Amino acid sequence: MNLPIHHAMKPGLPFVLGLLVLLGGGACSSSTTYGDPEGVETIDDTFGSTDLLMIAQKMAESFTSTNVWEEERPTIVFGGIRNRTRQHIDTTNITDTIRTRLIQSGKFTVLAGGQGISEIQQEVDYQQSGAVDQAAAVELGKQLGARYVLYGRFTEIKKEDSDTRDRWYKFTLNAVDVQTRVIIWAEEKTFRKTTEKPLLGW
Amino acid sequence: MRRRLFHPPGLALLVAAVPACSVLEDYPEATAGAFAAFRNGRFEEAARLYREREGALESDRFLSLAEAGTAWHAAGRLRRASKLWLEALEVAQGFRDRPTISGRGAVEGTLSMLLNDKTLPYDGEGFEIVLLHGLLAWDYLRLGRLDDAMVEVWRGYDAQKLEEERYGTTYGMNRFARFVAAVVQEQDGALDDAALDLRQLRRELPGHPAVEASLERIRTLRGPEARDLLSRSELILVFEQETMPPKTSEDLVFGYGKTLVRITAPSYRRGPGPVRRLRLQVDDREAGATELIEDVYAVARENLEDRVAWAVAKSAGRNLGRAVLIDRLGEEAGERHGDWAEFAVRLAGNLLNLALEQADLRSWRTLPANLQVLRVPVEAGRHSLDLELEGGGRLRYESVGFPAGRPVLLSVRSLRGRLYAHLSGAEELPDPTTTEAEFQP
Amino acid sequence: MRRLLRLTPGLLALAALTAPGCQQNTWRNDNLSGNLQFVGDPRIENVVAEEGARIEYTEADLPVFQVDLRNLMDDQEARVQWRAVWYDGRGIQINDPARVWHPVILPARGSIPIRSIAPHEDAVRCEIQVQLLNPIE
Repeated sequence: MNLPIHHAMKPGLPFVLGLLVLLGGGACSSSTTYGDPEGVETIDDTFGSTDLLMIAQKMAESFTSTNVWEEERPTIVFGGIRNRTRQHIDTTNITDTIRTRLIQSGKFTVLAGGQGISEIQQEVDYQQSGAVDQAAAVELGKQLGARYVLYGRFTEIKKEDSDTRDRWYKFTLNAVDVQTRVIIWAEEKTFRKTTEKPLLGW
Repeated sequence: MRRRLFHPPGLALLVAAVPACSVLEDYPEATAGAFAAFRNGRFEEAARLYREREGALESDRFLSLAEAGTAWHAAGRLRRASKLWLEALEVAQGFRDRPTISGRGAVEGTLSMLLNDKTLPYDGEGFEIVLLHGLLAWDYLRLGRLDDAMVEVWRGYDAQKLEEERYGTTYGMNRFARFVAAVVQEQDGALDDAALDLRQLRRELPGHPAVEASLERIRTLRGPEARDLLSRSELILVFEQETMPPKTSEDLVFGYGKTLVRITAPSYRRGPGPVRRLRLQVDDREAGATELIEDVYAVARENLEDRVAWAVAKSAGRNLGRAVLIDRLGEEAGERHGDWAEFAVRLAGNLLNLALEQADLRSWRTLPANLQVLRVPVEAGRHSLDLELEGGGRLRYESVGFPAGRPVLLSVRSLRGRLYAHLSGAEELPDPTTTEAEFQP
Repeated sequence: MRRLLRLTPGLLALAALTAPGCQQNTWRNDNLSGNLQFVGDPRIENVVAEEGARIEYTEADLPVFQVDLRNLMDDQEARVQWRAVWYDGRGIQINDPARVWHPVILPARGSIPIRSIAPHEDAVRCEIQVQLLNPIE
């Protein structure tokens, strides 16, 4: 079977431009996938999810494996974590994960603090507003007081030159006995992240 | 080789690309509408207009975000302001994080050598970055977010250090942030750190009333009268005066052979006007006046003077290159098509050269020309506040609740003599970030 | 309080012998057991090896499992990541909200201990997974 002979196969300028646009478009289009939430994230030298989980795990492991408590099931409350890094970090993210793990360990009674207290107050106020049957309302004055308060500090030392940026992080968590003011437990997690500027690139 | 130089489609493409790249546009002119809206207190409109203009290839994205953020800041919309300002800082950081040999940087650099400096992305002058951190720290303090305020203070110090390492001087660009740092540290109980910052400020600004008042507070807080001091309140007033003047172009046009040469450089031809203080009355009694802590215009002018030699050298280099090119193109056209063609090419070339050579007039226009501060002890309770700008507007708060042990923060901006004020930290303020006092002419 | 026990080298050798040719070694101590498993790219076996382990109770009655990892390479550092997964007596995995792959850099011929403390006292078995560092960049 004879096929018709095609004219010159040399691609014209419009074709090349069209191809470039298509390729360019393809290269620019974004894609979204689910990833491993436990995966090591090293996108840059700023604080990331891996750092958060590593800190939370180290703190929770150390806290649960110590035996300095006077009670069988110590009553604890989370105070604040002062952010003294060069980044806007929501430190409650770290304490939330530590708190979850401590609760799930079943070894501590963890009391609500901060945001939790305002939520409780709102509910108590509502129950006392007259709209709730008093037989079903909670009894006032029954809340527990914490024996231990956890508080900490997150710091960073940053060094930078034209090619490299180095950040050294230190997270410190303390547990203080409210009765005695004695710090009965403390733990630190340090890590370092370094970014080197590539020599060549767009 | 000479024949290949005269390539009409290539030239046409270049000429067509030039307006598209908006390299002929002057920043003050291009943003005149947004700036006018800002100066007239139409902050939302100003923010929108600034955000709509990011320049060719987003080269003015930093300015777009910084200016829009300032508009929201002046409107007392602190969360919006801080969001945009943080984005602006990311843009500036992204520029610094580029590869050492960056393709984009090479293209922009080449274009800037061929056309003008407006092809380079504007990543903020060092003093602008430092001030941005200081203003962010102030806004976070007003939002009650002490940790975030300190983050910005530290980042401001880092930016200042970088400037010092790069240029050997900082022109005192970080005094406002240092003052904010001392306030934050005092509230945080870090009295030693606060004292360190205040002593540094005292060295730079001897006898400054707000600095002396702050040091006195620290001394009292360390002594037996601390309890007494903590039973009182205080007013911390930050006054941002007017706006930065526009950069203007200084031009020098002369003939070089058969080619016209235009060398340009940006300058501040006119200043922002005199420093005007803001007088404060508490309960109708004189309580003091704000004092200059950061002369933003003076810093900007010195900064520009130090960099203008490089801009002139680049302009001269560009002109020389283009003059040689126009000369050769003219000769070639003459050889091929006669004298008229040579004349036409030279004329077109000269016109293009004159049009292309433009000074880079970009700058953060909505920054205040200066920053002034005042700290006044106030008894806890309700008080009236009166503010009067020297030679300008006045405003009054009939009743402001001052809490014991905590300061009330008052941020005031003057624009065309009018005052725009926002209180935070006062008792019983329904929305401290959006409260605006009425202007009384 | 349960008694703290320590694995002897003999037990270690026994454990290694009972699992010939397998990619994982299991260490036992009373009712506790721990094993190390190489996952992902099989070339990991040429990069690192386990070097002794112990599993026991902490003084707060939580099992702790520790394994030493050694870099097998003479002239370059090894970049690996590890995570621990704990199971209770019924073989049900115990949730750990802070579980994460930990990046580890071992110097040439160097070794480091990796350690995991169980998130709950019901835990009896630990599986430490190790693979070549595969970061999200």
